[in-house]
This record gives sequence, structure tokens and C-alpha cells, in this order.
Amino acid sequence: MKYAFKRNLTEQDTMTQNQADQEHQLKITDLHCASCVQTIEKALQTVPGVKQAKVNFATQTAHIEGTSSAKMLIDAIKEAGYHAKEIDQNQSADQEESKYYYRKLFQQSAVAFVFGGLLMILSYIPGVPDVTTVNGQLLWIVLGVATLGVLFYAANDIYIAAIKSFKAHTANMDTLIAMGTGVAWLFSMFVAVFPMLLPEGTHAVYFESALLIIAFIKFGAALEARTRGKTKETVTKLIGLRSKTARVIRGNQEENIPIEDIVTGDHIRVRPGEKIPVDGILIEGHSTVDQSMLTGEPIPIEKTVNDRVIGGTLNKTGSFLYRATHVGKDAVLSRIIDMVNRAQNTKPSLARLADTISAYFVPAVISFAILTALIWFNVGPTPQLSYMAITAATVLLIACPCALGLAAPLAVIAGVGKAAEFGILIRNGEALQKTRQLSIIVFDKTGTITEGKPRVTNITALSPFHEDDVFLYAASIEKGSEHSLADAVLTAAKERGIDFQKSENFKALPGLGLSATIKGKKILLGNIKLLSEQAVDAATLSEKAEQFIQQGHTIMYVAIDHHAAGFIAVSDTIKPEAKEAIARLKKYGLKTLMLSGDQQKAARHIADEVGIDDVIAEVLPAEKAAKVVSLQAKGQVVGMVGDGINDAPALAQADIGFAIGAGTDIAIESADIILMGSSLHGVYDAIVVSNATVRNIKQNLFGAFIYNLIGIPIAAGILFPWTGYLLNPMIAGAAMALSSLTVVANASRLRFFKRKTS
Amino acid sequence: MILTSLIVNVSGILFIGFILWWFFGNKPQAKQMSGTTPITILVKDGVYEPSHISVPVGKAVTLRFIRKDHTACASSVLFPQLDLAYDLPFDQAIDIIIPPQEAGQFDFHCEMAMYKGKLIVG
Repeated sequence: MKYAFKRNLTEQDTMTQNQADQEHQLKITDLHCASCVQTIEKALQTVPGVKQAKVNFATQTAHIEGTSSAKMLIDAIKEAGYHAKEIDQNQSADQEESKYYYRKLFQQSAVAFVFGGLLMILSYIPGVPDVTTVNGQLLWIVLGVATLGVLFYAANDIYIAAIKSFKAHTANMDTLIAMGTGVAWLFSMFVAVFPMLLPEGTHAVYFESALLIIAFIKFGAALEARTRGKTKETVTKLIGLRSKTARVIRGNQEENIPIEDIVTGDHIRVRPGEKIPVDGILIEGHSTVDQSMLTGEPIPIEKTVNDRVIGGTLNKTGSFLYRATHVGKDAVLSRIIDMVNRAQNTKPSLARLADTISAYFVPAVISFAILTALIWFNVGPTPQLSYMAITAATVLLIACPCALGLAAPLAVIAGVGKAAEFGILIRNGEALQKTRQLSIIVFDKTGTITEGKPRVTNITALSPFHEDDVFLYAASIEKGSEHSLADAVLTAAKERGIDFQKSENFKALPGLGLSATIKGKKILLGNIKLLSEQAVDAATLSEKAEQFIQQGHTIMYVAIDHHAAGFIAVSDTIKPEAKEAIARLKKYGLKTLMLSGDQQKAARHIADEVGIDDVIAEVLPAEKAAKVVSLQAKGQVVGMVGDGINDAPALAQADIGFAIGAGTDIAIESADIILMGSSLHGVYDAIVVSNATVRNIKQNLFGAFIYNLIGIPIAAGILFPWTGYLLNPMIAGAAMALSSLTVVANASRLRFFKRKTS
Repeated sequence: MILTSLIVNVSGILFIGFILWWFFGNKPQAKQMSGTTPITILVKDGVYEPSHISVPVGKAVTLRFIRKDHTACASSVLFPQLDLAYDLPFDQAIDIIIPPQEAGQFDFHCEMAMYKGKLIVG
């Protein structure tokens, strides 16, 4: 699925938006009467800044729009005599409930286990009468009724869910368990009440089986709930990065306030060793900041005035003051949490087959159980009724659609979570699946292979022109330009203290360069094409430029009044890890290609330096997407790596778009995978995580299919004609609980996945 | 004996027929959406209530999910054809806005597809 490229909100946008319109969702914990709704609404409307306040009785929530803070609203509700807390979708607000649920599952399992165990022991004690005697009959009827009571204590939710879903024409796991244990109990009760209707030697009752089945299933569910929680631990960890309070300067006062009350524009003080509370821009002081928790990059980053800092990262050395720019849901950390959460809930297409099967699974199993009973009735030995009941119950109990349904989602949760720990945000399950199928990785050059911070390396002038003139004109004309190389020239100009001249008739010539009139002279600045197109003889100049081109520098030629005057060589530093990262991709069997707007030779030089196979140079930004299309037309599965701003169309076109170095700006809607750090190793890591996850899903799916494919026929008694073996329904229940647990355990192995550093 | 055998076999086959008809041939009434009020869907006791929802073509609709069930599976809801997925925190109303759709049927289900529902557009 592709996403339209959306412009990132500028700081200004966000500020106005935040001041004009903030939304709060509050949970009212003690809303008991419908008439309280109006009381609370009125109380909320008196809070300054509230534009609209609506209370929903059914959901026990309040929705408020306006400029007031959450704390003010909660206080107002308190004054009206009620209690409220803020609902934050990112918070695991239901953690308490989960714990309670987990404990309850264990209790239910324990009770069923103890009672079932006692019954089992009882049946082995010599002298305990069986149902053929009057005393024994009475004993087992009483125990049967007691069993029913324990079943309802331990598994009432299963029975209720089974009945409700049956009424809704759907069937699930609960249906199978309820039917399986139901058949076992009913049959046993039948044996206890009417033993005379059954032949001798077939008076076994299965009350203990029904109980132990429930015990195993509940125990499995408890373990599953706990392990599942762990596969989601990345999000919990990310949530844990948030600080609770911040030291905000309002007026002349420095006060500690909860981070929910910070508004954009607030000035915040951060001391060494403290967590940075919200996103913002540094306005005073400097420091180094450890961003590894978000970007996966271990080296702390230098921050000085005008640099962006991200909420949740750790301030290391200095103390500084910064201005909050993004708070609450707009903050980078919140958006990461949101994205990981969403991605973890999506499924790769690999899981479609399992989904289709699981839709038909339960009714099919019920039908098969009935069929099994019929076969035993028609061709089985006596006592048929016994065999019919037991085999049908065993089939119902061993079948496990859960393992099928769990196979993909759990692995996706673990895989997406693991990747996030490495600073790799994967958009959805489909992206996760596709990443491993890539056959070629296309790199943008500037900002991807290189640091994206070009600097001037050489200025050459042809006589009679002087280097200073050449540079003065180049710098003055670049002042109006937005080209990435302009930055390099302007930075160098500032260092040299150049006195910029006014340019007139400024014209940008796409794909060529710039022209303008400066101090009455016609100046051209651009590539060799520009000069030849304007009939400027540049033969000598380009000869001189050759050695720089060979070394990968980009050349900007300068012509003054139609005379070739000189050139400025600009070069960008290659990222230190680029060579190694590309070598790893190639070793993995991937082809590599670099797209660049640079001259062929310069681009080739960089590609050779880092070991990229092929280069397509002199590509206009708009043509990058077309190049990706042509690769796809040749049957390649294309991964495009770019820094996300001008590469958006190509990132969106590629099978997998990797936006790199997005640490402070994750609103890159066109990418499938976002590398928070700027390291190229992220591409390889993403592919490896993808591979491990897909392998895990396949193992899970295979295991779940095989389990059902082998388990169900054995439960039906397929081995009986040859070996006389029949599966005990109790074992079937245990196997079922174990099968989904195995899937859970296998998926959670991904949590221990480690990325290999060189 | 032959009569017993006949009765057992026929009722068994009828039972299978009933199961297949009940789960595949017979669908519950869909709840119609009226006006612009969000439709509240309770996630409780193993089912979505209501599970079948009928909405008009080309209109964005809001489905308000409230989970009252602890089962792990229920904790998220997926709309595979629409590529939407949401976490459903326990006992919180989560509004899911479904963008305008053309006529068709869209499934929604929990993680393991144990809870199932259908959004019927048209």
C-alpha cells in the first residue's frame, strides 16, 4: 500500500494549530447516572478556553475541544464531584486489567486442575465404587454435578462466548472447547444415570477429563497472555521513554509541571543527565544528546542553538534551554509509538491463506466430528455410543484454529517491535514481508551515500580572471538559489567574509544552472551543458576540471560576460559506514545502483569508492521515479533508499521505499520503512529482520497446519484399526493448549534477535 | 436395528447440514446506520455486537468500538480489505472512521479472526 506524500507540518503550522485547537479525551471513572452528563458538561464549559465539551454516558468519556489543558479540565470535573483521567491511546491504560485477567486465568486453571486431579486419583483408588452399583451411581452423579459447577466457575466465559457466537452465526475456539467438554460431560452423566443401557466394561466417566482440559486451556491462555504482552514490549519501552515532568520557564519563574501541561512555545530547561521532555528547538546553551533509543545510533549527537531536540532522548553533558515545538500527539516519540502500534496490527499477505482457512475451520471441524461419530457408529466395535462420544469430543478438542490465526500476527508484532528497537520503523506487515524479496537496492547519492553536506574544495580561475572574482560572482548569484550545492558555496562565502553583490535578472535554468546580471556583467553558473548551450568556449576550463571530476567532485562552471572564467569544485563526504554497509548488501546477493543528479564521472567515482555496481548519473529529481519504474519493468523488486525529501516520488514508486536519516522528522509518508538513524546499515538490518520474521511466520504456519492435519485424524481414531490406539480427550486438550503456546513461544524468539554488527 | 442405524445416520447428516447452513448459509440481520451518529459496537463475550453493519455508499462512517472482553485476541480490530488496524484498549471507546467506500462487503475481525463482523456498504 502506498501513501500519498504529505508535506510535513512546519513549526509555524503546528503552533497555530495547537493554540487554536486541542482535543482531549477524558475517562470519567464514576459516571453513574445519565443526568450527571449535563452537570459535567456544564462544569467543563465554564473552564476558560473550552469551545465544546461533550460527555458520553455509554462510554463514560468526555470529549473536549479548546485551548485549555487536560489538568484544568480534570480539576473542573473534580470540583463538580466526579473523577476523570486523560485517555491516551499510546498508554497501556488497560495494563492493570490485563494483570487482573492474567491472575484470574491462573486461578481458574488451578481450581479446575485441583478438582480434576482429585477425580482422577479417586478413579484409581481401589474400592471406590463404579457406576454399576447404586452407591457408585449416586457418588458419580453428585461428582458430575459438582464438575458442572467447577466447569462453570473455571470456564463460564468460554461457554457464554460459545453460545453468543453461535447465535451470531460465527464459530470460534470457544465453540470447539465448549462442544468438546460438553460432549464429554453429557456422555459421562449419561453413563452415571443410565449405566444399564450400556454394555459391561464401558462404564468409564470422563468428568476429570473435562476439568483437566479446561485447566490446560486456561493455563495456556494465561501463559499466552503474558508472552503476548512481552512481544509488545517495544511499545511499552517506548512509552517508558516519556518523562513525567518538565522544568518550564513561564514569566520569570521556573517551575516543574507535568508534561501534559506543556504547550508549544514554552521554554524548557534541561540539565545534564535528564530526559528531554518534548520536541523543540534549542535556544540557549549546548550539549550532547543520546538519541540511541530512537535512532539506534550509539554515538551522542552535538546540539547547539537552532538544533532540534527530540522528546524522550537523553541529555548528556551540558545544560540548555529550548523552546517546545511539538507536544502531545505531534511529538516524534508519540508518532513513533503510534506507527509501531499500527504496524503491529497489520498482516502480511502471507497470512491470507491462514485467514481464509480459519474462516471455515470451526464449522468444518464440527462437521468432521459428527462424521467421525457416524463412522464409529457404522463400522466401529461395540460399545458404539462410547466410541462415538469420545472420538467426537477428542476431534473437537484437538483442533486448534488459534495456532493458525496466531501464526502471523505475533511474529509481525515481534518483528516490527524488534526493528523499532534498531531505529527502523516498518510501516506494515506487507512491507515487512516484501523487504526480503528485494532484488536490487537503489541509492540516492546526496544525503544517502554521502553526508549531504557538500563543501567547497577548490576554486580555479582562468587568466585574466581572479579566483576572488569568480567566487564573488558565484556566491552572489547563489544567494537566490535553493540548490543543495548553494549551501556549500554560501557557507564558504560566509567563512571568507564575502561582500555579496546584488544580482538582477536572476533566472534558474532547470538541469543547467543559473544566470543573472551582477555589477553590469552577465554571469552564468552551472554545468558544462550550460556553457556550451550559451556558446561559451569552455575547453580549457573543462580540461582543468577533469582531475577534480575524476576524484568525484562536482564542478560548477562560472562564465563572465560569455567568457569561461573559472570553476568551483564542491564535494560531499561519503558516510563512513557506506562501504561496509553496501558490501553486506552485496554479500546478501543484492544488486546495487546509485541514482545521482551529478555528472557521470563524479557519480561513478563515489559509486566506485563505496562499491556500488551501477550508476545512473545526471538524473533530474523528477526522473528518479521513472528509473525505478523501468527497473520494475525488467522484473526487479526495487528497494529505494533516499533521504526522503526530494526522493518522495521514487520512494513511493519503489516496492519498498527506505527513508533514511529521518530521526527528527518521521512524517515521511511516502516511505515503507523509515530509518531513524542516518546509518546505511539500517537497510541491511531491515532486510535481515524481515527475513527472520517471515521465516518465523512460515514456521508457525507450517507447524499449525501440520498439527491440525496430523492431530485431527489421530483424534478421530485413524490409528485404531491397526494399533488399537485411541487418543484420550484430555491429551487432546493439552495438545491444543500446547500448540498455540508453541506458536507464541516461537514468535517470541524474535525478541531475542540480535543484529550483527560487522 | 436397521431403523436405529437409519435414524442415527440420517440425523447425523442432517446435523452436519444444519451446521453448514447455520454458519455459511444464514446470516444475521445487519444493523442499519441512521444519520451521522456513530455505531457503537460492543466487543464482549466472544462476539461483536452488532456484528453486521449496513452503511450507505460513499459516506464516511464512524464505528465506536468498546471492548469489555479480556481475551487477548479481542484487543485489536482489523479491516483487512481496507488496510486498517486499531488497538482496542480495555473499556475505552475507540472511534474508527471508515472513509467513504463504494458498494461492497468488508470484513472486520480480531487478530486471530475469532471475532468476526461485516461492514456492508450499499
